[in-house]
Amino acid sequence: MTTTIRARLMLGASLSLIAGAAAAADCPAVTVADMQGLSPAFPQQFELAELEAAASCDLAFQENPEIADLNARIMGNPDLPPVAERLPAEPLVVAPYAEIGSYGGVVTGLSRGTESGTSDILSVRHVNLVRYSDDLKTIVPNVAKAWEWNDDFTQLTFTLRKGHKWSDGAPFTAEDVAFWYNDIITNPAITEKTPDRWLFEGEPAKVEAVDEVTVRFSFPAPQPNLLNRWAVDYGQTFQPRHFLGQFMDRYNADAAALREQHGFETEAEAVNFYYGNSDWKDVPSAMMKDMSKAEAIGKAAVPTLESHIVVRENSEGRRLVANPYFHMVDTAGNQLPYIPEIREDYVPEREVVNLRILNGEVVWKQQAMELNDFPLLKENEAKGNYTAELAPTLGETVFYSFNRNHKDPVLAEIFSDVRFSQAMSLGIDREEIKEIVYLGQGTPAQAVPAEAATVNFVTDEHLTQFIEHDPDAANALLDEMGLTRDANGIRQRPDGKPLTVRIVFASQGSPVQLHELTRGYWADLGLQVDIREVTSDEYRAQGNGNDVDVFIWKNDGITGPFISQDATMLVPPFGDFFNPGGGYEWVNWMNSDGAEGIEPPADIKKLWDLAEDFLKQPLGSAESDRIGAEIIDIHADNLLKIGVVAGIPSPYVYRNDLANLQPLTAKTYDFYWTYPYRPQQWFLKAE
Amino acid sequence: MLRFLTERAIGMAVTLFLVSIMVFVIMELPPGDYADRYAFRKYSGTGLTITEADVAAIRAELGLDKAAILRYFDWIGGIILRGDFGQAYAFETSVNSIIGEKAWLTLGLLLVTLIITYVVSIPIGIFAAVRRGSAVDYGLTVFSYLGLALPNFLLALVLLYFANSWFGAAVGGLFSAEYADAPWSLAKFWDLVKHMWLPAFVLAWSAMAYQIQTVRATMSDEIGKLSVTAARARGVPEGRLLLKYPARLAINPIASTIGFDVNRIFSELPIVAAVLGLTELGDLLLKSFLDLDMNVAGAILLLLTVVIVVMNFLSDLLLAWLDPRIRLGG
Amino acid sequence: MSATEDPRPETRTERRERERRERYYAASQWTLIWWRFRRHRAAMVAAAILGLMMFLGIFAEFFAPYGPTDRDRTYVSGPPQLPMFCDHNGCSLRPFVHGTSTVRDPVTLRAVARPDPETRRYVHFFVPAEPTKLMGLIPSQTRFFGLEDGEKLHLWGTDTLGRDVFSRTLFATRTSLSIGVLGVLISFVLALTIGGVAGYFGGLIDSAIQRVTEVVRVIPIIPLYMGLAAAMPKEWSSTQVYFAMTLILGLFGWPTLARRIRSQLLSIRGEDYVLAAELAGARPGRIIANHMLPSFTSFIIVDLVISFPYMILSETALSFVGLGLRPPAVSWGVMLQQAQSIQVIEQAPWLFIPAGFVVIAVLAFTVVGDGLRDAADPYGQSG
Repeated sequence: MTTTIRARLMLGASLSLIAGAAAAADCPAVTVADMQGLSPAFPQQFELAELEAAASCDLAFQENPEIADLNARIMGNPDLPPVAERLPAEPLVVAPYAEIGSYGGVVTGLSRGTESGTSDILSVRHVNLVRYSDDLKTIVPNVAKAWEWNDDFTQLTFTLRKGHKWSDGAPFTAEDVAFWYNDIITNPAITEKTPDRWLFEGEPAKVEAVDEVTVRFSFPAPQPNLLNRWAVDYGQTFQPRHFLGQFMDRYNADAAALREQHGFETEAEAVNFYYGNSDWKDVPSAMMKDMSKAEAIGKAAVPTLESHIVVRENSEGRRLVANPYFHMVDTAGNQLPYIPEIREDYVPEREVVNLRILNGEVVWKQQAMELNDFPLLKENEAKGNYTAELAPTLGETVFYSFNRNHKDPVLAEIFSDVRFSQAMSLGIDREEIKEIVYLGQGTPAQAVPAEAATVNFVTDEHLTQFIEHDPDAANALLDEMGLTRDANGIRQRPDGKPLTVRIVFASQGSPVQLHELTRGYWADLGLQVDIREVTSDEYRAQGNGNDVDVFIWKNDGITGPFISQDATMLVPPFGDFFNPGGGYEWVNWMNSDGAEGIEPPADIKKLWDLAEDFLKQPLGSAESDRIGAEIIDIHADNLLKIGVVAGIPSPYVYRNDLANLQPLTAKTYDFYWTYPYRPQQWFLKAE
Repeated sequence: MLRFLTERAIGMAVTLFLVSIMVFVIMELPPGDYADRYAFRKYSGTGLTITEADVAAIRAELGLDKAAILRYFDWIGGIILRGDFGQAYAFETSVNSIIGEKAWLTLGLLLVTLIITYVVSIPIGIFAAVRRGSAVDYGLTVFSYLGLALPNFLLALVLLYFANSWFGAAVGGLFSAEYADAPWSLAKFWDLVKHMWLPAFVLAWSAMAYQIQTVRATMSDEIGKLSVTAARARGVPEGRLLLKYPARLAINPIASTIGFDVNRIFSELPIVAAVLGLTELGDLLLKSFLDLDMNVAGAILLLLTVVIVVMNFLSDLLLAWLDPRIRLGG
Repeated sequence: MSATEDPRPETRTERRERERRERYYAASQWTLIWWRFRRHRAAMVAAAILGLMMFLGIFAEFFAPYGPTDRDRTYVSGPPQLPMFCDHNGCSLRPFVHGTSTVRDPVTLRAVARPDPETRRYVHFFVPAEPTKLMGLIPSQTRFFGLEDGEKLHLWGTDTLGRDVFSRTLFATRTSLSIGVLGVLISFVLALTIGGVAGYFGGLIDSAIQRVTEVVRVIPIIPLYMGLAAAMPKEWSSTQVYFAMTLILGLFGWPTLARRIRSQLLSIRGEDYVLAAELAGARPGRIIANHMLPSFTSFIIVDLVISFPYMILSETALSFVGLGLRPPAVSWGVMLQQAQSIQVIEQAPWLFIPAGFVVIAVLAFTVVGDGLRDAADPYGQSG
């Protein structure tokens, strides 16, 4: 693999030399629709040298005529040099889907609030070292020009682009990647605890800048699937050392004075004023925290490599403008993005969101759109001059996971009995749910932590056990457990109290009608069921606090590229902060070597080792499939998450003037929403 | 009158003190505090498991581990001495900077609503009282009660929908995008008006019902009084008669409830705001309540209650001026 | 003596007139009020409407053809079915509805119920049904009306889960009216006591009570409820939440009325008849109840009547923000919360029918209050 990539690049480079010497014709305006006979090494994009060589041409660069005005809106940015100097010496050349676009317009999007439903619009501007192509199978270069593994997958080397610059014009180099890892996330003075996912078997990796454009990650154990993370992850594995480093004594002799000048007591405080404690780019920005301080320092937001940068943020929304140093051009040499501005409004109320869409005020929206609203959206398409489409989702059934580590020991015991989960699953009428809640779409299925279409080791057996609607069998199981009914038909717990289950859910994670139906099904089995809708934040707080009876969310984060490098979904607590899955006392027991918490059952205990081994095998290899199957068996045997209906299509809408939009292969957070579909080459067509 | 004034002023001070305690109690009511949320937020997306110790550390850092009484004095002390409402945890900034301009917008919305309410309800109430039992009276009653009877959130949505599909009214928020950041100008003001009429109308409609009925009832009482009958017998013209005797007295109950109209309107505000996507204090209050961001909720509640208490004080003065019996008896 | 002066026997008319007057003079205040109220036609109609609502609500298990959570999966989001006597196939004495079938639009995925004009389903009265308990007590196996053969009739259509709107509305009526009534009662008693004491005694007691009243009044109600509702134990069942909410609504509904009672009392405190009663040695409670309150009963009535919709609306508002009643409890607020969407406005407007109930109930209470107010007015026309 390694050799071929390098070979192609070498070939491209040498060809370009020849071509450059020969003739300097204009390059063909290649599009995905019409590749004009060219077949790049990676789908739909070229390295500059590769294109110029293949088409024996010379690409001249153009810019957005408004770019100087946009630049003026970015706090602290100096006047712009010409476009050719702003682009890397090796820009990424992107073939637009349908046509070469034109500059101008504003993409309007809606999210619910700061850190709530924002990843949709975040993904529009997102970049990372690499990217998944829209086939969701091929990893292609992005910020990194190339990458190379060593033979046993313990060393990964990225090659960056020569002359690449941050959004403020400062050079972006390998040092900035090393800075992110060595000085921020593994530096206890800045980040108290390194995120587990960036530790490997508990050890940090070694990250070194070999030269200006070469950065090398060395891992203590093989990580054959880790490249996926750079392709699907929300985080940015590079931070501007020239800017954040100025607050750190190590990089700036006057850092202490600078910190004092701006009222920061520690390095951490200063860095986090901009960095916000997290790779998650959605934490309140410096503008939100203290605009006057941000002005004194001279930057409203930390410099970025993304296609757009936030220039204004408050509790009502965000405004972004194009990054004048963005590293992509189209095949006609126009610097991307075409769309100079993004406006994101926070609208928490779903009906106002719908009304705005119906009004044609929203250019792009896909996150948190419910299938339920599709008939309304589709019927009003013409009136609002927009289009509503359905995209497949990957897996993503809603799950019910009974809290086996419940704080109430009686409930913990009942929920730990797999017969209980089996009975609850059998009590659910999935066909009815499919008809009523999901407009007849989707397939009834259980929830397992791997998406069947993206891995080889999930069987039909895993997905279809206990999915038939069989209240008699369910009742028999509950009777067998000794949960007898009282005179009113309510089942009694062993301590004589009525068996009560509270369904606490957020409508962001699952539709309310589903829970009303489920309430009915379980009430028929003799449970007292109470349902309560809360905000996502409240659900997450309760879930992470181990305060719920049933964990309820969408079963996401389970595609092959995801689980092969991040075992979060495979081991307790079977999820992350955003999507908690239970088993917190088991986790405590493991983390404290048995001093605290509850000892997990033997098979659950095995999951940790299995998951560790799973990450060491290349996804799709026989060994990987064998371990994967074993993990899924354990999940299925315990029926950890009761699934409902999977494969439900989900709506997205776009205004009709949004061009170069590719129908979504799948609408999923697992590939970071729009990232595979290259929103940089979207443009707004004048009517 | 001076004695009356002093008494009321002292009363107001005592009320304000009690109110601050009450607001603090409300802030304390919901179980849990922001420390949990903050912990999860801080470590969100890091794949870390959060221990009780982490949460306790954050609780100490935020000063939430202190006894309630100490926190009360910290809180109220900061407000009185420095005008500092504390930290808005969820926004990682100060409460003052979050509330800032929104307070004025909210006040504006409340005032507009109040004015609409009185301008409409007083004349209609008097008119209905004079024509009691007639079709006009019942028509007006039904109209005013529709505003009250239709739950505000429903009214807001339905009106928004129809206003939008019939007149292309602006959807949600208080400003259009192009004016949100712009400095104040006539155009921006007009933009605000275009956005504000709907919520003000929804809020005023339900407040109207109450006032119309109160005016109507008081007027009816007063019209039947012997003094009016006597005056009529003396041949005082009907119009002057109404204004001279009953109408003046019928204003009393209204004057005594201005503060509470504000209260009532604001009570509805969070819900109407949520539906209409307004970005003012009512909406912020609801959000911060759900987020357990209690400093923000407390600041809004306190500001509002202070406004109401002061309004009540003024209405007491007005009342005493209108009706000497009260100031002498009180 | 008079008998000797006027030996002529009474005529029948005279006797009636005399008896009428005797009854009138002997009648208690409340009897008089009732007599006057009876003549207020609109108020009588409104009272009858309220009575009917309560009756339907109390016996919801009999009048509603289905339970509040029963689903008809063949008729989801179906429009109202109006029974008819005639169609293109002729007429029938027994009302009937057409059979329906539900088809999903392949493009918009919307399920549309289509009537089949060739099939008729006849409406029957006193049909046998699943056993239930009237008011949760009396076992019953009969419903007021329904269709034969297990077919279902949805007078007012069904909601997004296929539940019968008519049936749910009746059950909701019971819940919402009872919350309103209980809440108003609780706050009325509190207001009367607190306002009465403050207004009658004045001075220090008044000042103290005034402060407390003012504090309770100036706190915006919804945030207060939100705090209290959030503080409610999470494990409470919906029944417990129901009673707690009634209590909360009642406990904080009193200040408006109390303040009014107080200020009215204050303003007539110095009147001669009050002084006279005091001099005659009457106790404060008696003076307030017998001498002072009647002079502004109309106020109290208007306030009571008006606080009723506030109770109901508070309930709906709280349910809306997710802090009030929760399914499976069904109230007007819970039902309207589910109607809270553009989709419903456009595609299933019949889900707004409960709003009609809220409006009618509120209006009826007003008209009744109005009638009562006239009737209670001591200066009103006698006889």
